[in-house]
Amino acid sequence: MKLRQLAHSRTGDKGNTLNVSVICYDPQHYDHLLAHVTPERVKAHLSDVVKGDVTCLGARWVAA
Amino acid sequence: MTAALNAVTQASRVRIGAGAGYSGDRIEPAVELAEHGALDYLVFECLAERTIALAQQARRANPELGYDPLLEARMRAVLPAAVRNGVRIISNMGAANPLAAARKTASIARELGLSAMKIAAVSGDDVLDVVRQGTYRFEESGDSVADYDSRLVSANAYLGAEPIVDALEAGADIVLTGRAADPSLFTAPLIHAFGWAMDDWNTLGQATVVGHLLECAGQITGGYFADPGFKDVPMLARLGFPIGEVDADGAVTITKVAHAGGRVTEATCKEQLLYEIHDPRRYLQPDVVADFTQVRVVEVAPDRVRVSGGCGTSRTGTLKVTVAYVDGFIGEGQISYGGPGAVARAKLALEIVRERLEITGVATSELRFDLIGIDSLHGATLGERNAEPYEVRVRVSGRTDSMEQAVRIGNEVETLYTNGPAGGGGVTKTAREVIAVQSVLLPRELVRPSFEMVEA
Repeated sequence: MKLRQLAHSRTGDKGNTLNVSVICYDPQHYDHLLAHVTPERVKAHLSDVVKGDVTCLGARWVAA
Repeated sequence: MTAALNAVTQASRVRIGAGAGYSGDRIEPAVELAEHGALDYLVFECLAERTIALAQQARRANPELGYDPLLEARMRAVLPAAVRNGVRIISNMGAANPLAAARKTASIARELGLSAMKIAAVSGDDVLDVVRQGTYRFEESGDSVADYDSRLVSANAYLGAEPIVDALEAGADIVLTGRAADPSLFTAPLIHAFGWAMDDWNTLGQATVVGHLLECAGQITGGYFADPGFKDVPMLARLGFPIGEVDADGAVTITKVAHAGGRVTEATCKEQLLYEIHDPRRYLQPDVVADFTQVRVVEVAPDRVRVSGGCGTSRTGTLKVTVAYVDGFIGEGQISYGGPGAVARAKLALEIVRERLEITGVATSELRFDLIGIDSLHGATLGERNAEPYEVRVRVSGRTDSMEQAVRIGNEVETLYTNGPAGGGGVTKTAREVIAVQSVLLPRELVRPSFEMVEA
């Protein structure tokens, strides 16, 4: 299964810092995504372009 | 309702439209909003980080310019319907010269036969002299600003809502600013209409949510969202821009003109809510530190999404200043290869240009060799997982200290035509000066915003 089947995303940047939102279509998938979309995996996936750290600001919000 | 009456009668609900999300945005959706949006206010956000530096250069070349290049086209298109329907306009299209923008708008209004209009020009964001006289360091690099002195182009503080509110209270039909925080363009008319206190942090936090959702215009009605088969959006060629129906407590319902293209859903609103927010717990704005973590997003009807729950804490003692400076030049060249062996020929082309730049002694500080279609966005590790494409585009780009050196990069791609691999075509080449930006935090009291009223 691909991430895009469970979640949608928008990216934006300020200066050299990129942010990527990962928003689940079904709030029930939130914990699963939090467990699997880890900063380490995101950094490894984009290893050619990410020069700095990846941090996750996960919080159960907006998932009304 | 006249502006003066509006100032003393507190509204119960305010309708704000977003007429532009960036300087070059489509104009028809703004006209559609002015005609059919039943708006109280129409806001145009047109000033990206580097845009004001380019505008400053334009102003130095001609003191009557330095405002948004599309100001005239936008005003001509929108003013008749806006005036007819009592829609007040707020925009940062003043860029590096709000007063000239206000005068230009007044002359357009007179030409269109619209009279008795009051147009406010907000100034005070240009703090280049203040920054030059102080001892500041850039937030990003830690470098001393003084070391960049000969290369500085502009320094503009992000103004908050207050000067815009003052202009609206003075009866302005149109308010034109230079650099102001994007959400403040939206929070100002709400503060004016609802009479909110400037230390009502929770309400200002929720107002920041409203501004943040609307400031990119079509990005909340389905633009920058469509992904066929996963996130489908109807009629993107006729994308409608958003309307925020704001209640006296700041809660907003995001919607659009019924017949306009696009869609407003929980998904479009959530994506925009999180867009470019690095820390949703502390979103620093000139008027408030907003907290987005309690926000709720609920679709209450088709194309109607209610967003509430934003809050905030006290504003900080500093204002962010974007400092722009000349940062060398970039030269670039591109060429295409197609058919069997396209990738091998494209890679050979890159090797040739790499060697040519060495042989001919082009001095660069950063150089990129990309195969567009394969590795130009996320690098070779991800790009080479997929099957070989039918066609590929070579791009070589590099940073240089002079325009002359920058030009030579594109030239070395162009000579691939007759000196490189078989079947290259479609060369383009560019060379341009680079304007870079960094930030400085300036004590709030050193920035003194004000406005001047121009009458049409």
